[in-house]
Amino acid sequence: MLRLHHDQIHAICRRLAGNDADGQDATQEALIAIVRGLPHFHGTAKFSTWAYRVATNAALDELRRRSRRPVPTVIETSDRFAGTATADDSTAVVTRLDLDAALAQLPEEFRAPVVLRDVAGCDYAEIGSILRIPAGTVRSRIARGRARLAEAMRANGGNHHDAAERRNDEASDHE
Amino acid sequence: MSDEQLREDGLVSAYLDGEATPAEIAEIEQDGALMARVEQLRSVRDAVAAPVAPVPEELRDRMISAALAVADAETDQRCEARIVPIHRRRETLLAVAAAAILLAAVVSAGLIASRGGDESADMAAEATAAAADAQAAPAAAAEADMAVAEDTADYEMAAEPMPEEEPMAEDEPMAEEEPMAEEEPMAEEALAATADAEGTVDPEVVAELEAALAATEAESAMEAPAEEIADAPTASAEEERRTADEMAAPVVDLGAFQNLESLFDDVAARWSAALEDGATADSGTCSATVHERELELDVETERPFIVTVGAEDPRIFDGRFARRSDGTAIIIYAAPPDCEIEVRELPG
Repeated sequence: MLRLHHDQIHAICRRLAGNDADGQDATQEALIAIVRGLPHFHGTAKFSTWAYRVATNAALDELRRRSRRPVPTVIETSDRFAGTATADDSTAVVTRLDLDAALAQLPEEFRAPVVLRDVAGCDYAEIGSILRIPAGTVRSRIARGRARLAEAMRANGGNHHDAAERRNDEASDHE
Repeated sequence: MSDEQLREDGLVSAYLDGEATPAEIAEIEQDGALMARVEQLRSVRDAVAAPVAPVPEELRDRMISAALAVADAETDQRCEARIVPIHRRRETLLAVAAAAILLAAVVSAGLIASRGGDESADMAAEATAAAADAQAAPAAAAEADMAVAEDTADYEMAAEPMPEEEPMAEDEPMAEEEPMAEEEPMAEEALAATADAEGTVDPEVVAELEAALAATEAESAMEAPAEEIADAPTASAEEERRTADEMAAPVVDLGAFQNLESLFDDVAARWSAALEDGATADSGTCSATVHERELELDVETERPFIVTVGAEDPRIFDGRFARRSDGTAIIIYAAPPDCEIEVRELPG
């Protein structure tokens, strides 16, 4: 069962956590929580729904723990990558980092439903069951979450564009 | 963000997710601005939905193993509830009762003999006979009490079932068995028998009886671990006993069922009524055996249990963990007799 759902659980945790390391930590915590909680699984819901709920909570817990320790900023990381990667790789990395940064800026209450919808493919009713909120609330939170993501990604894109221009200017000055 | 924007984003998001109503779909598709917003949010959705690189298989296996190991370690650390068949405890109770009453009879007979001549000897003989009768009476009463306690048990549904019926549980010693409430009445019976024979109760006899009862209890507790080894039944003896139990167990016809789930639903519904320990429920296509076990717990009796059957596609059966009116607790679960049942204690 764990093997079967591992990739999906990891995907949820990775998106919620925002980076690979925390995503893996969150996945590990989620797996432990699932094994611990299995006896409480009554079979009244789909196993996947139940497992995603456990995984989501574990990932959010990991996020809260993470928030108490310092992490390198996304922009610093992307600048470092930009110097060594190929153009395509760099674009992919920047896109990923844009998304991670945008998700990181999104409050939990919006991030979790968006991830459950877009990563886990849960419908609104399932998400409502997982997060214990009404389906109508799921709908509005996903909408607001996506709207905020769109804004954040646009803003982060602008930052990357500015950073690229600064590097180009520095290169020109060197020449 | 204005209320109107929020409403529109809600529409657009639902449209993207296939959760919009036909009216909402029509509204969106007739509005160019909304369709433009659809494309904006679609790009966001696609970015979030982009596949996450899976962790390497080796790492995945390590993570799963670690999760299982952590859970196992925690389970091991928990004190295991001892599960013993009800009848074993009942047998022990009866044995203690018989020993106490015989002791009382012997002591009283000795006292009477030492105080009188032939007449006293006759009285002693009568006292012994009376004590023998008394032995049967409290034993029957104790058994009846237990039966009543079981029948009137307060079945607080609280459980889930679990792993494997551990045969060792059958062989568990009774060392930790707490003194039963019935033991005091038994001592009183013995004292009463003495009082009847003599008309009064000699304080020395009372002291002797109390000391003897205490010694019996202490001895029982001390010897229990040794009994566990010495009295461990052989496989064949145990099998014979089980076969005899099974033959004696009533079969409750539950009618026809399509599957095990419905059978167990019905078994669960009848648990507190028709089915007793060892009863077999037979639907013609499915059968189940009800097991009643007494749990000697030093923990809250609301702790859940779970019974799973089968390793490939584990099925979780609806066990019942109930507190009895006498303060003990029992777990009752039903499962097909040919399935491997495992009972595990869950995290508190």
